[in-house]
Amino acid sequence: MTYYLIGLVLFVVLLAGGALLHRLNLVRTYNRLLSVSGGVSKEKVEEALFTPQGSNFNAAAISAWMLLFVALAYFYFLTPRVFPDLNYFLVADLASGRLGLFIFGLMVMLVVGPVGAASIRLMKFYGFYEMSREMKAAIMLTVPVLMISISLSVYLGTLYPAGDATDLKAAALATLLLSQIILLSPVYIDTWEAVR
Amino acid sequence: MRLCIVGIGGCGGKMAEQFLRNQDVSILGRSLGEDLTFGEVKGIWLEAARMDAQKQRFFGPPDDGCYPGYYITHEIIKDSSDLSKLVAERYGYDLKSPGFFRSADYLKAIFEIFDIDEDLQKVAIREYDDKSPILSNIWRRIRPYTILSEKGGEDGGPGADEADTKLCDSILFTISLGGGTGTGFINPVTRYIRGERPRFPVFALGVLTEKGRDQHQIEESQRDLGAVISMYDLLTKRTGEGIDGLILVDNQRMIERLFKKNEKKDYGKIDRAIYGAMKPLVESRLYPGMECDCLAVRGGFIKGLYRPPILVPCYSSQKAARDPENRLVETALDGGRLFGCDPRDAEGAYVFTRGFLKPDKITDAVSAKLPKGSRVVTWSKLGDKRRNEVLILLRNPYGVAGAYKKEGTLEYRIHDIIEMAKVHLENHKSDVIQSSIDYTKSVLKTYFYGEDGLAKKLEEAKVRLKRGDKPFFQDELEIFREEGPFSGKVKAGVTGEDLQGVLQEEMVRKIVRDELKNIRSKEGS
Repeated sequence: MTYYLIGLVLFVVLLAGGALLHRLNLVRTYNRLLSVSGGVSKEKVEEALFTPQGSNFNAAAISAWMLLFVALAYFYFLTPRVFPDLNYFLVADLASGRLGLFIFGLMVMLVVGPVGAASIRLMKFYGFYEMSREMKAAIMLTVPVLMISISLSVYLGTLYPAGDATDLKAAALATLLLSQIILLSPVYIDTWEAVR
Repeated sequence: MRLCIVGIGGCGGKMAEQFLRNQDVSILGRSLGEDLTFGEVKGIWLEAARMDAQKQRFFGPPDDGCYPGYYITHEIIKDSSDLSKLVAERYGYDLKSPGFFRSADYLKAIFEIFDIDEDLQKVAIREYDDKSPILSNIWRRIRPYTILSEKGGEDGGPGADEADTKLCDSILFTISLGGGTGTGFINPVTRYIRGERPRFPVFALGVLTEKGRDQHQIEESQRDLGAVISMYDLLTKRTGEGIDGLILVDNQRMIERLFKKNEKKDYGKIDRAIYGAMKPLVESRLYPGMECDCLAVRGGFIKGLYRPPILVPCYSSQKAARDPENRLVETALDGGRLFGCDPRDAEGAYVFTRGFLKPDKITDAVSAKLPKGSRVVTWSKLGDKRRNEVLILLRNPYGVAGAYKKEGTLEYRIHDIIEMAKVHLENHKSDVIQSSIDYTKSVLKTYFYGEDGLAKKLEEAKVRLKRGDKPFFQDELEIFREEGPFSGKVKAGVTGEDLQGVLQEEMVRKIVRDELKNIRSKEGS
């Protein structure tokens, strides 16, 4: 249980940290620009700083963010292992049906839908950073990595309650967190460079 | 300012490749969306050698819908073309030549004969509906990427959509000055552009090949003759007629900077370094409130000149630090010159920065290094936050008496290549004027060795360089002149009247054919 909670806390901390640091990066850049070019509005700065990242990348980044939340839901809410009062097994008829996993995935997608809509803003988020093709490729590769995480969670859910494959659980969590770190890496790298 | 990159010839294509690289990721090697280039530039590669074009994988055949694409410049000319035959019979030139290896005069001659020979024009019109089909087809390939296509949009290119705001408002030709395919196309294509919009900004980025033997094992003197012919042609057009600035890069300098002695030269590394230096010019994200209008840039380059200027790029890139302006400018003007010159001789400077740099400080730092009263203009752009970059284009940084003796000056290098070109002209006379047609031979002889020929003009240029006069190349030179036997009213070979007859006969044939078709179709129904 602790093991799961640490993972969840890490996920939330990474996400909140990324959002906060992105905001700070924006402010810092605005101030730097202000110091060299005189008075400009924040909106104009955001507009000027925007770098298009390409439609392939945008599509991959949006998919990756959607899958990140799907992977999270599959890992934590598929079985009663972590949240006995909030999981898919509470609707046993549905969960044990032939299309059970598919329906769960669909439901998660519906819940994550607003995230998908918000992820349109991701283009703006990533547009703030100058990213190398290697970094873009790494972000794109999170899609198959997250698929691995989802597959592992599905496997564990199918076995439940039999077996307690710690290795597989660790692998599912590790791939989930690794993907999240890669997705947020432009923010952390930019902050690191600024601090250095 | 958004550039359309037109790479011409082998070296030009490789440089253009750097500019046109897709910054987006691809999925299993395929890009599903539109290519995303740095600075949102667009472009094309013009090449005469089909084999070379097919050997590489970056540019694709445009007819297969590939982008970026290459275009084989003589593709329009059919194998059994009357025009091709006439050119070969009259002048000994092959319109479908698969390359112009180190002979810069070849293309110059071809385009000149199309200008002056009315017979050629008539045959070309008959065959291709155009009096200069090669050139007009080249321009037809470039035009859709520029804002000029918005006027008509009939080409079916991006310009067909008037709302398309991502078109290029200026052209940058990338070429080698070694005297191959490259420079021969620039002036004629520029004339087409000027015909549509006289003030459309056109720049050229020319790379002078290194000293000694090059990667193709070609003698330096032969390459230098090509370079001299190319530069002479580009720099002697009147302002507003030809290009608006020749950005010069010296491969010799790049090799010295990038490689150790006896180290194997990776030309790709040089291309990447040149592209890296040009990034502040290409970058499209300006400081909020700042404008970098292409016409303003063009206006600055040619202001007060009657011949296109030489622009020497000086580049420096440093990690972001406190008060970086002076250090960046110093490094750029000291070790960052991409062509030897003395900044103290420049008439002015056009500065493009990336990063967080104070434009006023940059302008002051550059002004301090230039002669008093020199014009310095700075355009500040956003960068990647971690580094600051500066590209200084020095305008005509030469013109001091005796400077030709001093290594590292522009005068020294230009004097050197002129000297080498003259040696080649003296030692290879029969090769230089070689032609199967006597008339062409005599014309080439006059062009190279005549009273007002290239050899004489080069001698004059040397004197001007020694005296520190500007510009060092002065009068335009033509190979085929207006007063030639085939110019204006036709005097030999196929006559104008004959051609008129041919044209009329063709028209009658067409009418009869159409009429017969009509009759047959009526009978059939």
